[in-house]
Amino acid sequence: MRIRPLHRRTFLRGLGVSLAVPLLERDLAAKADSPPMRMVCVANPLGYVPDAFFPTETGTEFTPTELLKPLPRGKYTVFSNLDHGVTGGHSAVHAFLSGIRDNESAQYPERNISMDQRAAEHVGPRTRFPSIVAAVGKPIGTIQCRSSWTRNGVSVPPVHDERVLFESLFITGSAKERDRQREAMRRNASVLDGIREQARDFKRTLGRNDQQKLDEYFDSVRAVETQMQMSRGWIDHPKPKVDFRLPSGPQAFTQQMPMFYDLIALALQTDSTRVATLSIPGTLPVGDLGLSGSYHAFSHHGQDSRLRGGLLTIEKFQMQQFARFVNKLAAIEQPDGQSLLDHSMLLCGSGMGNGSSHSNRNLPIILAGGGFRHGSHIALPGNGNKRIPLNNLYTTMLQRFGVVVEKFNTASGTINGLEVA
Amino acid sequence: MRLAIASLLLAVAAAASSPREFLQEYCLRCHGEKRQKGDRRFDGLSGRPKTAADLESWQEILDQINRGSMPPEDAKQPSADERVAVAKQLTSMLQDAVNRLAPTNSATTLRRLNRYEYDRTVRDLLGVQLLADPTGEFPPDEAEHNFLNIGSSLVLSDFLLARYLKASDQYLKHAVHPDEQPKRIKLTFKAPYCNIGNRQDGLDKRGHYQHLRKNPHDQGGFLGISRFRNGVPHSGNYRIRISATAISRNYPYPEKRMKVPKADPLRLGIVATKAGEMSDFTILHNSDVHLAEFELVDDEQRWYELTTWLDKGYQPRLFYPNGPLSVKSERSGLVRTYPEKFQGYITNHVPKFNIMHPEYDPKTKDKLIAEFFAAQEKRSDRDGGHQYSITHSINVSSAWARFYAEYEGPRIRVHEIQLEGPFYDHWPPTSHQRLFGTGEQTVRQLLNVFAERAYRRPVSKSNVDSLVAVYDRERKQGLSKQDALRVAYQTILCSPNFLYLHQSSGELDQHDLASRLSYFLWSAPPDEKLVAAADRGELTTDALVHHADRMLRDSKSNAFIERFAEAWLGLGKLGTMLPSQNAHPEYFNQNLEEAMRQETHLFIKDAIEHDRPLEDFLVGNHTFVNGPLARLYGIDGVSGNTFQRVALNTPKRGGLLGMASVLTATANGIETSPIVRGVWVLENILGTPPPAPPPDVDPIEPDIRGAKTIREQLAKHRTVATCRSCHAQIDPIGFALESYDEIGAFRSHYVRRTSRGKRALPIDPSGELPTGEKFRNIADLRKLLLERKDLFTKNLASKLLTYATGRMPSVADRLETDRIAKEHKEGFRSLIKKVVRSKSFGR
Repeated sequence: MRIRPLHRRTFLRGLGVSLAVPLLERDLAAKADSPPMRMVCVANPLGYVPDAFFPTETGTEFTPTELLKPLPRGKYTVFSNLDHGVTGGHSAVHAFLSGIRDNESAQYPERNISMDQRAAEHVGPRTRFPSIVAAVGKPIGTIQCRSSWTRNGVSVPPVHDERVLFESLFITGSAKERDRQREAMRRNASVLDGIREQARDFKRTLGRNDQQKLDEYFDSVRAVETQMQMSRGWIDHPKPKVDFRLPSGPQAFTQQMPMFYDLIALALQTDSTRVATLSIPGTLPVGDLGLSGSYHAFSHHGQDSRLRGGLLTIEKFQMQQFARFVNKLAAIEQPDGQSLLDHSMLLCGSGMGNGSSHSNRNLPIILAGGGFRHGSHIALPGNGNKRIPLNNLYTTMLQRFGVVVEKFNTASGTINGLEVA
Repeated sequence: MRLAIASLLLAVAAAASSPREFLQEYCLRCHGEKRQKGDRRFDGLSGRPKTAADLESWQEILDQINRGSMPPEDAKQPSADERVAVAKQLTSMLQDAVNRLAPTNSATTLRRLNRYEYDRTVRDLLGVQLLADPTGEFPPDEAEHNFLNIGSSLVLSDFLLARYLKASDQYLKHAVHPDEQPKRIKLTFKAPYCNIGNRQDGLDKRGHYQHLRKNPHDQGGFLGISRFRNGVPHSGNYRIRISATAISRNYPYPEKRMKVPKADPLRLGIVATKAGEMSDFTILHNSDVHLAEFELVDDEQRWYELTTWLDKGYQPRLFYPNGPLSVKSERSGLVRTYPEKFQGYITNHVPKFNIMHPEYDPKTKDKLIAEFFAAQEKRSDRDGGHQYSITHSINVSSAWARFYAEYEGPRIRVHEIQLEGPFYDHWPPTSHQRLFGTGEQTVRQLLNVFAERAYRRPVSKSNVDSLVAVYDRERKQGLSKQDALRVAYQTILCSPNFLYLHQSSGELDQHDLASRLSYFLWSAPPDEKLVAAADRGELTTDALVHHADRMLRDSKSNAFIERFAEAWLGLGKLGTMLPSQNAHPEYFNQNLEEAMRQETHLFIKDAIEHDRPLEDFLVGNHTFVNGPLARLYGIDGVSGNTFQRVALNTPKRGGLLGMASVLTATANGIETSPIVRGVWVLENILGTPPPAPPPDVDPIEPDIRGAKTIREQLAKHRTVATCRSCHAQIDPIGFALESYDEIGAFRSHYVRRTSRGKRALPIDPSGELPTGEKFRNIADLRKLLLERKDLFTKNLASKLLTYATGRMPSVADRLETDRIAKEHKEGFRSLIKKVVRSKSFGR
């Protein structure tokens, strides 16, 4: 799990470091009356078969396609003709939540920060984990799970072991362990102090360009210090107790995936985090779904019916699990009488539009929850210069989350046709 | 001399038109005020460039003129003489501008160590041996054109810094040893070592032996030691001895069924794994460290032995790397084909309604199944017993055991495992001594020596003062001397002086030069000799080249071979998109991926050692193969896993373009693409990358239902005007490379298994380059590439300099590598030395 600190500047400007802990308590007290907004993004690396995903009719009267069938009617919106305008096949999938490829990020003030991490910055120290970045099993190779990016242009490595996720969320360390943590933090603080002195000599001998490069380092030192301040506040705060038992031994993918969803649901419910991103690896073991071959090989179906059928089996499973998650959150009540789903925006999609042709256009996008008026298929203009960037939807979502943003990354504004219920 | 040449050039130039006039005549119609094709606009370019951006533009124009790729064929063309004349003028103009602009155009970019260099550097510095990888949680380094060492791309984030804090602590923890030397122990393990559940081998014999019968990718593919769940009690060297026998190399079934070549001896592999994180069923684990592999003698019990470092808590596990991918899934086929060999299994476990039974009859099957259920119900009614499914009897553990007892496939019999240690060369071990000295040094002395080695340069007194201050502060906190020192060392390992390669602006100073050379050739800090030379100020250009020669002979230079191959050829992509196990089992159980990498590494190593001509990279008539790779290539007479040099007398192989590593890295494991491979050749062989496709073009969607080859699909593509100019360069090269499949095997047809059966379409590898040269196949294409050796040399020199400096080439760098390439007649090693000698290397 990736524990994202609030960005230094935002944090210092907004709150002041010393306020971190008091704010936390105040926030806990305030939470009872108005539940906060949450955000969950689910990404797969190979897309969904387009004609099994996009409905032919638009508006509220659409017929759910094969892949949309498992989802509860009326509780989601499906979009078509949304994408980021980036190309590169597999090598552009990582831009799914940011709209910007990592090698083109230098020209943007916030680099290629992804929507989830932008939201996590907004949450800051109010939850134990500003965000959870997870992947269902360990990804291998270029079809990696690189959905989440920081404003430094660094991808956040996901936690891929459900056990690690469970323990960090819900297992409170022993007093001895916490002492050890505190001592480790104290030493780290001491090391960071020492570093400053070391760096002074070093900086003097550098040229101007290189001094700028070194500023990256100093920014990181300050950010880590802030982060430690925040974590220190949480060490003695016991983790929530939940009624969940992790089965022992290695799990089949078919068990693992619902488990990740369940843990995320619990994390949201206990307000351990308000932002989670779940990636599905391109190397998932298809044997667990009764298939022989590989996910990637199936995605190159070239319209062959056997391969295409295998791919659909994998995609349907993913969709069923997402549907189960939507239903699960819908059944959890919040203090204001609404459901957890009403207070959670759930995005499900991919940075790949069509795996068979490696196209990054017309991405499959579903949004559920978040208190929006759902139930329709919103088809945006498909025409070249009238196309709407996917980041417009993300801007709308971030605004709903409470982030003050006019145009997120490559957005031209917000999205039309999606209204709060 | 330089002046003389320059004035000579000017004399020639006077006869031809100036670069500005050339631009006016041939370029501005498309790249001027009215139109800016490809986003290029040159009408404001000064004939006397003042900025780096001007330089870049002129350099790009020069590249296009040199390559003859601009103006496009449908535009007005300059004569060959005009091209030559203007290219000469432009070259000298750029050189002049670079000299003029040099002071404001400082070349260096501060760069941090990448993950690989960081790990090597810390290990070198601490003298620590460890199996664990403390950098395992680092975020991946961002690559720039396959280079993982480009300063501007290597970002340092809060996230990474937090990982540095943690990793440095872990390395230091491993470097520290207890006061007392641990007692040596000797352990003997007898079968069964590991309980593998209901997949027990019927041939296993308690107290005598247990078997390995399949590839480690499958469940039961490893023999760990269940009783050794704590691993070794102390870090140190251990002697591991294994008594083993190879059984049934010449198994009685066809190779095609088991997919295990009978020519290759069985191999026994050993990995070390964190014992506490394993269960008996763990297959591949992310803490696995590959220790060794042995080729086993057939049918003879022998001892195999190695001495190796083991971290505390690790244990060895055994595996059979070239075993069958899965035996389970072959059961039905084997029993049906060889019923006489599986009589016990059939009689005791296979019901007549199962297809494996010799008397199976689809007509009576349903009746027999009905009887089976009826009998069960009766029994269940009588004594409330459990009801079983129809496959129960063939899958109970006794059934599997019986099946395996009668199965005669290849397997490794393990008779005994012994473990003895820890041994140490001396006590305390090197890493401990480096940190805490021999007891005679003061804290200040220890920190001073360590910091100088870590920072790769002399350290100021104030700097050491501050480290001592860290130590004092920690002592006051109540930490022991050792612990307080550790915090100070951790400070050193997290400070920018250590994490960044220091680079003085302009000309590098002596210590920066030493580091540049050692990170170039070793991906590690300079050794004592190099540091001593820098201390004495002796690193002249000649001395650098002399050290380069010495360092290339050292085995540490394998780091250069491996990392440079990754950066230049994009071999990092190998293994990231695996082929399907069904289509290419050999990729998995003959370890082809590692063999492919090895071939390229050995080829480069050999080219360095013997200063082989650069032509060898394009058309070489030798290469290095082991048994599995030779089979892939169709080369006879090589078996086993050891690599050997072979002469190539086939037009199918030779040079980089015949190497499976390159061909696999440029495919996606499932299918090949002429575009990807064509672009690869333009980028990495010729150094003439095509521009990126326009953003609004949709990729081609393959359709394998019709009788269409990719060539036919692309033909359409090339008739579209906007696509043509680039695809005319890309596609033909790619077509020739279609003669190799997704793992680099030669093919004459596309064969795809579809739902309608096998389909084979012939491949047409012929083509025509944009210059009009025609080729029939890959062998012809190689010859055409050989004619472009100057482009290849320029590109290779440029890639070497990029890798050496850790920056994308500036115009000055390009001029320098162009100059080197132009006069280069010798081999690869000489080229490396010329790069070291160049001005760009030292700035």
